[in-house]
Amino acid sequence: MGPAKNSGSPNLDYLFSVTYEELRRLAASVKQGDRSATLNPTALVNEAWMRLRGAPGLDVESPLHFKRIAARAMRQILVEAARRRQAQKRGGEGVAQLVPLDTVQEHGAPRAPDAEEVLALEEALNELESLDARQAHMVEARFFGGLEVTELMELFRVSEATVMRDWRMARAWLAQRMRGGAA
Amino acid sequence: MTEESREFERLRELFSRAVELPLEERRAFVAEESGGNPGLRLRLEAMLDEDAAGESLLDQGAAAVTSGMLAALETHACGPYRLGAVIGEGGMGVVYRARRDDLASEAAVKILRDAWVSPARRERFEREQRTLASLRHPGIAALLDAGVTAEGTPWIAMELVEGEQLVEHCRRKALGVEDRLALFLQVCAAVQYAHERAVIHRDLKPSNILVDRAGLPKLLDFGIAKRLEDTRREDDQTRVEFRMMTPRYAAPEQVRGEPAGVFTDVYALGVLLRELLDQAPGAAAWDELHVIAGKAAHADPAERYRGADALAGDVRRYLAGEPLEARPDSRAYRLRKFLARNRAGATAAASGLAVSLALAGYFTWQLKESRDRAVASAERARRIQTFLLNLFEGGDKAAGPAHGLTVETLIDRGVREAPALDRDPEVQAEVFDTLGRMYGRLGRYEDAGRLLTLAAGKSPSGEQAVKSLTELALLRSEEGKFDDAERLARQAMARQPGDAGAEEALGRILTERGRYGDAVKILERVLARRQRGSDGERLAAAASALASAHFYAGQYDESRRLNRQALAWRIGAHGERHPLVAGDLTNLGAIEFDTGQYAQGEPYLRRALELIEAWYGPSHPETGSALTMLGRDILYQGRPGEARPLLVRALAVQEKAMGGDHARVASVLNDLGNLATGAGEFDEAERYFQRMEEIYRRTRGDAHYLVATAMSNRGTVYLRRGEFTRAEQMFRDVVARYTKALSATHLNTAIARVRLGRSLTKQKRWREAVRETQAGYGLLQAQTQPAVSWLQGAREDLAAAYAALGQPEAAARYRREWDEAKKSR
Repeated sequence: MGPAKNSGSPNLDYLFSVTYEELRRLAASVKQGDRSATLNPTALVNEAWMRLRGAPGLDVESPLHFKRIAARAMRQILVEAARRRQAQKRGGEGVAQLVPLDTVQEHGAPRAPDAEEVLALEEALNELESLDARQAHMVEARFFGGLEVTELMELFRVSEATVMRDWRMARAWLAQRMRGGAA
Repeated sequence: MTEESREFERLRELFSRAVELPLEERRAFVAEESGGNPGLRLRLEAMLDEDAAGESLLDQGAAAVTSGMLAALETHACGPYRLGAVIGEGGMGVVYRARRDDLASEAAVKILRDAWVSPARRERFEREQRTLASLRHPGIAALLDAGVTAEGTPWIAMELVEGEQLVEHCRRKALGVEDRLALFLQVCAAVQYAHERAVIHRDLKPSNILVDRAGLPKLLDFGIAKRLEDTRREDDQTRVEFRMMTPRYAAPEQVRGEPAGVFTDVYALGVLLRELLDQAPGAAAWDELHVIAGKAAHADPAERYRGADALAGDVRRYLAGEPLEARPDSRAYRLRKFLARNRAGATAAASGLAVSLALAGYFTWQLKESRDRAVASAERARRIQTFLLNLFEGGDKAAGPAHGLTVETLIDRGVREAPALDRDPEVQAEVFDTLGRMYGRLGRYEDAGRLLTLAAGKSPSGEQAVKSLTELALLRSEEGKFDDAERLARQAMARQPGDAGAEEALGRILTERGRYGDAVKILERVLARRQRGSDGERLAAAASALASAHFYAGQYDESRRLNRQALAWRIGAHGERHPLVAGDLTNLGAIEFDTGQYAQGEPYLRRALELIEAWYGPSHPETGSALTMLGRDILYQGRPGEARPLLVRALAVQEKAMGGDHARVASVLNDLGNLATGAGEFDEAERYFQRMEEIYRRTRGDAHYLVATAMSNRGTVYLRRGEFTRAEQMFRDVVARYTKALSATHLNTAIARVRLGRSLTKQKRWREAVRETQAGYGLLQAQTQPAVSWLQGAREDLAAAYAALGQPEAAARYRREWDEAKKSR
């Protein structure tokens, strides 16, 4: 059902790694470019699609198919970045502290999520995947890939009500899990 | 099923039932249903709490995480410097507070964004930076070091200046004019010092001038703009140029992309002086100082002071009460002052009315034009001026418009009072003409038409009638009534043969009608005539009209060149925020858009929308058009989620302002159709395109190329739906129409042939497919960037077709080109 089951095929592995490279490159270029531009995963995924669509040997069936894979790549990129960030923090004196004066605060978000939180989400999401793969893949696609509800309906071949119900359930489950609740 | 997943199932079921209940009933429900399983109960309660709070990471969205996390992938050290907090950012890069441990010192490190230094050029870059580092002056923040990171991003370490921006400093301390001038003279001295060592700043502006704790001004970033330009890759040209010219402080020649020199910095100093004076308490009539600033910031470099020292000299002479090098002599100078005074009065009285004030400025300018024209008769000038001042004062002696007094109210009042001027029909005609133009600007076309017709009929001398008729012609063209428009323009030309204004209008109207060849001929004549002595605005108008004709004819390089020229003239004539400036920016964005360079177009279009909405307000058709352009550009960059709200808003604005049958409505329908196509909503897309086609057929005639555009897009819908023969028929028709309406080599014709090729490829009619795709491909290659999606699509089709035809080498060649194009992006 979700990307995980398909990722054994060599073509998908290739597609994933190309997408991953492209997203990472895009993320880095946005970062060094306009700092005032929000690093919006949806925009990054869309841009990656524009660049990679129709590449020979990639055999991307549809934008939707691509986005699903890109969401997974985005998830991996963010998790790696979070690990790196945590490592820097532990590194203590030797490493300069970068204070990101980012858009997060300006938009009135209560606080900037930290690396621990991203890693906690990753852990909880892996657990959820073993309990209900569809919910986990839905969260991955929506949160990391910016897929809209209509796209999720098409991708998972379910009704809007099901998407909404799954998303709400998964969100609440993950949130309580991230706060340290039992599985 | 494991026990865990059984429990999860149970959890899911209870959760979905619980959230259906009112908040207060949930506890009881949970207690009852999870009876005997405290673990389940706790989890369910925790989930319901999270659901109600909605504060988790998942609710915030990934965008909230991304920026923070990806900062970890960034650079942390530049040479010997460790980077700390971000202390600022400007057009060129981000500035970090940095520390150098071996010397126990601090610095400001600037990382130049969008710049890249090839390994071969690194050494040269670093050497040039060291030359800059030899500048030692108390008024210049010293350049300490420079280098290139492993990724090739250049960085520069500067003396860390702790202070505030000069303009801010003056404002906060409420410094008087003399104190301000003393600081300004110190800035001039620092600039002069650098000039004597052949270093031009090129990007002088308030954010680059700090006043340190000791009260001394210090210039940042000396010579860095030059470095940035040198390292810039060619494909970034447009974007960087745009960024460089956005500041009000950029001289016209810089905006045009010409080499900068001492005179460029002098220009920026002139603008700075003006800003310092305008904000000084009691800045009323510093006439002579304004003359000095005006000479320094003259649009023509040859008219400026020859150096920072000469400028400083005049400021000192002013302070000493001696005669100046600069002399006010032109009428334009007096008029500018007239304007400045009015604007200052209005600002003092009504700070909250930004939009109306912008319009009020324009209004004043328009009436000033009338006054200017009437200057032959002092009496007439006095009467018009009295009339306009009365409008602003509304009968009492208040200095400016009161709160809530909109420009529309002012104009309506003007229309009511104008008949009182009937003793002098010439004056009355001018007032009607001006008010009619104002209505036109506000989108009230009917009122505009009525007043302009009145004005044309009132004026006995004929000169005013020609101007009013010309304006009326343009208004009709704006309304999409092209027959009327052309007739009126020719009528105006007949009344006064050789009138450049009327000829320009005819050129514009012919462009609108798709007769580009005729339009170019007329407009080239107009531009040539105006270059023999016209003001900036008239030159810009002619250049811009000619640029449009070239644009529609597909001659993009020529159009780009003329538009940049027009933009420079416009900024020189009106400043940065005028809607005519927005018009030039829109045109430049449209060129990038039409050549497939959507990302380059976006900054032009964003800026244009910002200016237009600020000037005209949210529901004016111009705002609708600007929304459409930006939405379309964003759509083509593959961000449909961002594009949709812009376009939906644009459609509503245009339908309301223009009626359902206007070209602008059609233009938005086109984009919504494309959006729907992209989203797979094919029936909806087909309806949008059909409505678009009908509107164009009614307003422009069946032979117009836009009818073909609508058809072509409908063909794409068929292609996407898998109706390939239907698509093929459509595209054959489209190619024939484009060839006739535009030319066989036009970009649109080329794209249509690629699309036709695609419909044949899909039918596996390989030979025919190759013929069409190859032809389109050849034309496209000559006109666009190698990685444009049309070209990439054509390469895919050609590779597939040649493979099927048993020509693997040809197939491989296109696959290789595809790869190379992709890498080049």
